[in-house]
Amino acid sequence: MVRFKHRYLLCELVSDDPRCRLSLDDRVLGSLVRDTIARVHGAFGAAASSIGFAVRYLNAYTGIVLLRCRKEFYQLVWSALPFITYLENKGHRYPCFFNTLHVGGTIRTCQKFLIQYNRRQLLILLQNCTDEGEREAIQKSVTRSCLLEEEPGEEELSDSGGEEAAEAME
Amino acid sequence: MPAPGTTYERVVYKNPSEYHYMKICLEFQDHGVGLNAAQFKQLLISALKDLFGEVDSALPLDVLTYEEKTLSAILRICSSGLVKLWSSLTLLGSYKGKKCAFRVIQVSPFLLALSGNSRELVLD
Repeated sequence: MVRFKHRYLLCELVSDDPRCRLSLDDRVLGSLVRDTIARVHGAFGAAASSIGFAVRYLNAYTGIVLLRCRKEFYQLVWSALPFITYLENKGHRYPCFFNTLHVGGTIRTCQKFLIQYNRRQLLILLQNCTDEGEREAIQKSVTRSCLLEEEPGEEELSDSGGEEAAEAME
Repeated sequence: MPAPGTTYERVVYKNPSEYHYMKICLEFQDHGVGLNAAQFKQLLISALKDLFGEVDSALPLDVLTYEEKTLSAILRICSSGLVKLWSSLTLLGSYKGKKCAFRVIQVSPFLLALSGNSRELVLD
């Protein structure tokens, strides 16, 4: 009815340096995105996008970031993300870039997408991994994620998950 | 006898012109400040960059004519960027520390309209 509508941008931080993700901090990231919007879209963009802007979720291990912005100005934020080229923390500069995975209207839709995305990523990792110990660990997490899927009683998804896992294991 | 009903025919010609032309004049608070054409264009681009950032400072803007004595110029901008250019000209306050202001004299989608201005008409 009468409420402020938001857009949630689900992004992945991709970097060569493994230390880059660990030094992620929500305040550092927030200020980095704001500075980039100010550089790319000027005073107008900085002011318009900073009204409803917040870093809602941050995962330092996988590099997943969830940004929130107002629906009227989400394109300003989205278009400024490719201009972020490095992350600066305590004097160290790490080159990195942001990959936008999903734009959703609510946190719940982004969470649903993230669960499916992580499941697919696990299978890709399974194909690419070389070490036996790693392979077992990933297979365990794949079967666990398929089992979790069966509990709510969604038969179609669990069937396809089981098939994909079986194919990947072969 | 009642007059026969007249029939009307309305022809709508939709031809949105791609460019808008602006005649502007730069005024300084103290006199004796001169700019050449390149510095003038640099001033316009920096005004756009301050307000709208690097993306919109690269709008296709052309300075068609420039007179150094009166500091007046005719600009051409694509129609989607007219509002951005005009608002950034309005909010520009200074050049190299000296206070200045842009006066917008005429705006038109047709260049020919800028040749005559009824506001400058002097009636004898």
